Amino acid sequence: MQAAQASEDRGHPAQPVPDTARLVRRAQAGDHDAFGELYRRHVDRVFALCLRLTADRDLASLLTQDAFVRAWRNIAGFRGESRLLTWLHRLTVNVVMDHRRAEKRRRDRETTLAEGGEPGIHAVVQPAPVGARRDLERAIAGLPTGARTVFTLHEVEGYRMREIAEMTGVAVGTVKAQLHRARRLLREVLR
Amino acid sequence: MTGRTTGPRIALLAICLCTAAIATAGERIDETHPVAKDAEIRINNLAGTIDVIGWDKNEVRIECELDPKAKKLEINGDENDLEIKVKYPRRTRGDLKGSEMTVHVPRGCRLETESVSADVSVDGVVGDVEIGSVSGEISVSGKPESLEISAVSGTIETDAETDDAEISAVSGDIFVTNVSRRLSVSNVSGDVEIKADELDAFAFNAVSGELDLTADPASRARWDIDCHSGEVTLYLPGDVDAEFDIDTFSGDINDDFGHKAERTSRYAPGKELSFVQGDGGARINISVFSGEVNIVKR
Amino acid sequence: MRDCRYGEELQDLFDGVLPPERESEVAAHLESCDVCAAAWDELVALRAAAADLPSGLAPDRDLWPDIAARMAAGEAAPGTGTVATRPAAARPWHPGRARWLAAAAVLALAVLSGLQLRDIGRDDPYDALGMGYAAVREDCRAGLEESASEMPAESVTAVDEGLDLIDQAIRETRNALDKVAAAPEQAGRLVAGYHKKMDLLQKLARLASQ
Repeated sequence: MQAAQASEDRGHPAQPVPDTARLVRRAQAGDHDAFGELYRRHVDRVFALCLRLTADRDLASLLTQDAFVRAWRNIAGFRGESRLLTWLHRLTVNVVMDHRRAEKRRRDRETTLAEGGEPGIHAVVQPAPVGARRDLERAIAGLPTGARTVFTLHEVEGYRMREIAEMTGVAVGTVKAQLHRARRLLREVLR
Repeated sequence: MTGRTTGPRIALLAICLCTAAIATAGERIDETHPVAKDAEIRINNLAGTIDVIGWDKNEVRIECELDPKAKKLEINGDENDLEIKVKYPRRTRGDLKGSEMTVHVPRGCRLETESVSADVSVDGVVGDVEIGSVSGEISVSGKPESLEISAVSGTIETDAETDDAEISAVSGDIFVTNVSRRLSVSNVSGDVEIKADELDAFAFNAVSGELDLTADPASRARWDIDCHSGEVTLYLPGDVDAEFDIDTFSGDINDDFGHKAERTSRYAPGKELSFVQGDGGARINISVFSGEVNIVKR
Repeated sequence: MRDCRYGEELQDLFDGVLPPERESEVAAHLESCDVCAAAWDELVALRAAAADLPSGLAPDRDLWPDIAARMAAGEAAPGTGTVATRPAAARPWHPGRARWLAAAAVLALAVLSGLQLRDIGRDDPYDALGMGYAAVREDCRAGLEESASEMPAESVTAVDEGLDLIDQAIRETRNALDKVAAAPEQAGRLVAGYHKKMDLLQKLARLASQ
């Protein structure tokens, strides 16, 4: 990186920086460094997605790691028919959903005495105070899990309802209901 | 837009599509295949022309005259997902004559075209339309559900009626009419001329070049215009309801509604102008680094 | 606000999932109902705000060492996992990839607030902010060199000149930033303008490497 930075002022690359396709091929052949470069280029995107879905920074960090580890395991199966980011994005959503399902199973096993507390909420962020009009990020973090997930995937990430239903394992009608709920709750909080 | 008709008009061959590699260089092709009315259709032709016409049949008709250097025309997929591709040899120099293609598609299909220097025209498709090109001229008409165009240096001209368009170029000029609701345009150095209807959302991002925009902001519209150097001119109705936030680092701000820009700070260059016109429902933000901003009353 | 009985179908229309046979009635209703018109505007604004959220957020610490350790521990090796299922393309259909500058100054200041303006070094303030201009620019040039033989000459020139224009714009922005250290709001606007150039640059990088 220093070479590129130092040479930036001269306007010429000291050494060419490989494009994504080349890095993928090298990673598929087992090159850790190439995968590290892919990590560097995509980690922010993956982390943002994990954070918005979980509203929990620590958990988001863990799941980001899980996502990249899973990506390394599966990279041989990436055939380049979509952009790497799209593939990685989808994989990240699966990692988060798998975690949720595992957590739910664990909670169900552990307790029949559960009282109160909506399962799956990892909210560590206070809901945005009234008047913080533009603090959409915090408002999303304050949503209940299902509404937050659907809103993030539909409005922030641009997935269609059918896709969200498939990824999260619920009916399309449920996805729609959660989206409408998210909008209603956000409207109240952001007013 | 030229309508190209080549070869005998015979619908042939209800072929069950697996991987069908059809025809070789220099040949004329005229193939018709049944597809779903909302099939996804992808057309890939590096050079020459791609003319797409939507029709009412649940069929795709491909008329193509291959470039002498082309390897073949390949059609892959099935009724729901069809790819039509002209294969050229690997190391093709950029100066191909190209293959001329006219493709009729079901009106409701979802269309995607990819090309380098081919001229592309699309008409009569009401599904989503996505066009990727490098230097060809692009022209779109009809009423697509949504429109996405990405080019480097060809001119983009669209009079398609749509309420969802995203257009980006590097150095080509862009001419847009008949878009309403949502429009996003980005360019590095071309000129952009837009005559739109009512826009809820407008985003513009350019490095240098002129923007001429004639449109009406919807009542809670958000328009964000960012240009590094160049002239931005908005032609707005006299009874517009909008809140304006305009700033330039160097360059005048001229406003027909009578407001005067002020210096942003004593310590640095830069002008700004913020005002509310009418009920102020819409938000119009304009940021120019060096160049003029003109707000013109229509 | 009052809710109109068309409220749910209005959202379906907005989301593109309304059955076609309902479209004309709901659209006609939208023309004449103030409540629905206001609701529609809110939907637009909310979607625009959601689209404006940064697509990437930096984790609090570098996660690579832990990931590399797990890779090295053989917990994962390429090809040992099941083949990834074919991903559906994420298709944002709001004015998607263009970035809104909703509260440009606020956003930019939020970024800057992690760093006092006076701490921004001369060398590469934008890399200090993690914006990676140099890296993306190198991607562009390298990608362009590779694709040059397959693109028409005039387009190679167009991308090359586009890169130069962006370089120049970035340089001008940096020089200007030096001048406005005392005016945070203006600095915020300049940084926001920088973000826009980065978006264009990243687009060029993708184009050049196709």
